[in-house]
Amino acid sequence: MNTFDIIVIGAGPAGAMAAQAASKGGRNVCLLERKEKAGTPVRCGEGLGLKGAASNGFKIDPSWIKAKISKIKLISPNGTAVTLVNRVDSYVVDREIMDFDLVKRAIASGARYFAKTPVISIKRIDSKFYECISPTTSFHASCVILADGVESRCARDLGWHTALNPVDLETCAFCKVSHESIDSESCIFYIGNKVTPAGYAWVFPRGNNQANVGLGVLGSSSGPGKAQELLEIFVASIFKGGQMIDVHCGGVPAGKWLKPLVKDGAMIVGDAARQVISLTGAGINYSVYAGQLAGKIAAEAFQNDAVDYNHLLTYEKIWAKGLGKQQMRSYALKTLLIKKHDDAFLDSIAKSLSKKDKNKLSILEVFLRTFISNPVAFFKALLLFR
Amino acid sequence: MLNIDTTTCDLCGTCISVCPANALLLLTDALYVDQKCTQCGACVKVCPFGALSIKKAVPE
Repeated sequence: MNTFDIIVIGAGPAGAMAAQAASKGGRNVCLLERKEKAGTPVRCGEGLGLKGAASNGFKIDPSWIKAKISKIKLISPNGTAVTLVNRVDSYVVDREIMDFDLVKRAIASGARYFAKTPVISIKRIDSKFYECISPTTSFHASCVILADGVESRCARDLGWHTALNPVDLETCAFCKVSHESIDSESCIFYIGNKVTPAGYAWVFPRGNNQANVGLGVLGSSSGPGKAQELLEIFVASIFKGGQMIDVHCGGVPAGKWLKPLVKDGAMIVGDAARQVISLTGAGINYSVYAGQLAGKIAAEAFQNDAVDYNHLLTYEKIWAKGLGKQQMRSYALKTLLIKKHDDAFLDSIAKSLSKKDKNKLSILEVFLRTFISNPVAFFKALLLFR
Repeated sequence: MLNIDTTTCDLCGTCISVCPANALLLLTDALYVDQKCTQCGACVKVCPFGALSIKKAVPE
């Protein structure tokens, strides 16, 4: 038996940041990872903006960066391109390197790391301890941080209802493609029902004419193997003769964040807590932020050997006021857009926007234009930003 | 019963996220289904690689 103050389950960005923050807070922490190597295979577009994550002192290591993004292109169903100059620091990063670096930072801060250690079940054994059972051993602690990803099961053992409604899930397929047409500074998004129903396809450059290419299908419009099938069609139509390598798949939560985020001595973070920008599926920023916050607060909650469970609630309060509020706005916009997701509508907006000077065009204008042609939606969107 | 094509399955866990019965379990190198499965088909529909299928028992 292994006894710790805090057990963190899952060594993705949320879990590794939580373990690092909790160790820095002086606690005895272990970090459990199901896979042989955290962060592999990569199931992510690997786009990362600094806004948000940077506010908490998180720094992107130069060794993670594959490309710096200066332009964003949106391609409408009939092929009309809308180009925006990207003014926010954003990058395409190598998640395999990044995730492992974050685990190494947690270890350097004092956390014990156990790879190939899936948690089969978790239970409360008395008023003080939780027990996490893995195939070979078990772990005990008074506080657990669940960071076990979109596939989270641990939360269910502790009474959370985490099963996603398919309308709040994007089922995705990813690959890498090398092709001479790929530039190294533009992120390109393709929308339209022909590409994928109520989702989008993305091309994120990694330098040397290579890009991460992927697409998401809304769970409620999906079917067996549909994401992979649509990705193959997409790659064949956009990159003539391009080879797909490292083909993987994964699910991205696209709904509201999970409530509550804290139960007794258990906290939930990252994809497991459905902390993702619902509209875009971007989750690294939120995971890094929530993991760090939860780990810090968990460490603070220890007084002598007892955990002040009430203090853990601070994590949810801070989240709900900040990024949690932002996620709910994004969720409402996503819900509106799904209702208006018809190709002719998207084409007409793209046509009017494509004539604008790309240096003056902002994301805000794209949204305003979208909603002005739909006054009811526009009014609802305004209400969100009161 | 739920059939898992182990050569196609990418171990991504998308199926687990929609399973209302908590019947799926992912270990280091395999996905398992237990007797809690109600064969509702939610996982089959969202599997990005199409690795899951339901074989209805044939009545004798």
